[in-house]
Amino acid sequence: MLRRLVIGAFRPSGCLQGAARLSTIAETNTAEVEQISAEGFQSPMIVSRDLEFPTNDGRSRMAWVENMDTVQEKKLGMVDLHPDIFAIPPRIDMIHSNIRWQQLYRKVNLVQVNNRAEMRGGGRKPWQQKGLGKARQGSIRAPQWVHGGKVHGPRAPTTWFYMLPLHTRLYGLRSTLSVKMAQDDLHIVNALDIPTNDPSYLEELAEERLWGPSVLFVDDTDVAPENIAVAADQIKHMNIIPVYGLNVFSMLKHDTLVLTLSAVERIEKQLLFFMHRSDRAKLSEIFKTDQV
Amino acid sequence: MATMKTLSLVSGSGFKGLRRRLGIDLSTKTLPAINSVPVRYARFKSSPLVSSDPSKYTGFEISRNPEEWKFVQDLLPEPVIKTPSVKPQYTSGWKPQNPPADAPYFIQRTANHMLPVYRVQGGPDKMTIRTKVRYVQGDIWALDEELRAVVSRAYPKEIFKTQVNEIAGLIIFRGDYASVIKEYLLSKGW
Repeated sequence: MLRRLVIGAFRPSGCLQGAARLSTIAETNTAEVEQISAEGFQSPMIVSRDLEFPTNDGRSRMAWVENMDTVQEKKLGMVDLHPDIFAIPPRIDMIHSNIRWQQLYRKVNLVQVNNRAEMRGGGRKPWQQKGLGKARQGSIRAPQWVHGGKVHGPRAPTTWFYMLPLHTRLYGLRSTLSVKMAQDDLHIVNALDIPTNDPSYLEELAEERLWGPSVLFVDDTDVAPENIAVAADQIKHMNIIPVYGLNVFSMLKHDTLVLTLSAVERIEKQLLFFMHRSDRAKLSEIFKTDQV
Repeated sequence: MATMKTLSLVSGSGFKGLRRRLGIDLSTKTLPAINSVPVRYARFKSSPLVSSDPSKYTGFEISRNPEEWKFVQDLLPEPVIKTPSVKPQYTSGWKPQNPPADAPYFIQRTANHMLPVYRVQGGPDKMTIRTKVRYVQGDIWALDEELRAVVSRAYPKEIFKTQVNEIAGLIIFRGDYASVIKEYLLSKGW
């Protein structure tokens, strides 16, 4: 009950429908929240979340929930984070293989070098076989000739696409989130609502809170609130992505990672599901480019 | 042209083999036009029903009763691996984790609730056997020392080496000691 009210109180009144997205939180009653706000909600408060797949190793991670509607930071409460997502020993090799994969899988080689058949000319035997004391030659486009064809040159288009194993992808995401958490570059906010669409507001906010300079905002929805969308659009190093777009490359490219509460909930749910799903063995088979 | 040839071969009197294979004399039949689109019998939608009489088919009714749905759900595979229910003893011999309180390290069970101790065969002829202990948190060097003592107690004459990867939480033994290590860790409550 308390948890429900606290989460409800975190969200500005215009964004209450967002609270219902949190999977562990039931329908929020607007009247209850208004009553609590009127009574003067005592913040900060600790929000205990029911973590799925709890660990029994004594690790726990908590993070402050901050606001975005003022430049000055207000600590609205604390949330529990799942240690298997936000507190694993970071595997730098896993992060590297993710980065390498993200840079390579979209690459297509467009460089092509002609072989002797594709070169112009070269059909005539340059000189007779015998009698000249010279080495026998059959074509001026043979590979040993200057301006001859190339043997086994690059052929276009060749794709660099490959699929990283599922668990390497998962470990990369978890490692990067843990790195960001350990380096104090991960911030959790209640919502991405800001009072103005002026980009200088975001810049001031980042400077005041020692964020960035580059900041990546992650929300559960793929439609951002209008003010922050307009403001971040004018700052090239501040970007907004939905949860399904979260990736290792973008997290490392930006100095600070800002997650909304619902984004944290969704990230944990998705990653834990993939870590514990019963058909993992089938998913971790080697990806075949030729599916037929 | 080719089609005409085929037709003449089929209807011709001198080609008995093909006619026998086809089973029927096509010379008297009306053959479809060359440009007509054939019915694709491989697609079930284009296949005609066996009978237009619905009483010839097995009857069914659509139920939205949650009590009945439970029986269907029992047949569906679990999406995630369930946490085992608490019992005093399990017929499979599996034991739930009951870690000692004073250990400087922690060994996390796998997603399948099993000990992360593996026997791995490698090398060019798959004859190099290693034993891996994974998901070790905390003081991995303490566990390494402890397990080496256990293994050398079980195999006093064998010379073996271990490799500790602290970042990955991984200990690798050269040699096949999986059963000894598993037995020891289970006896300790891991």
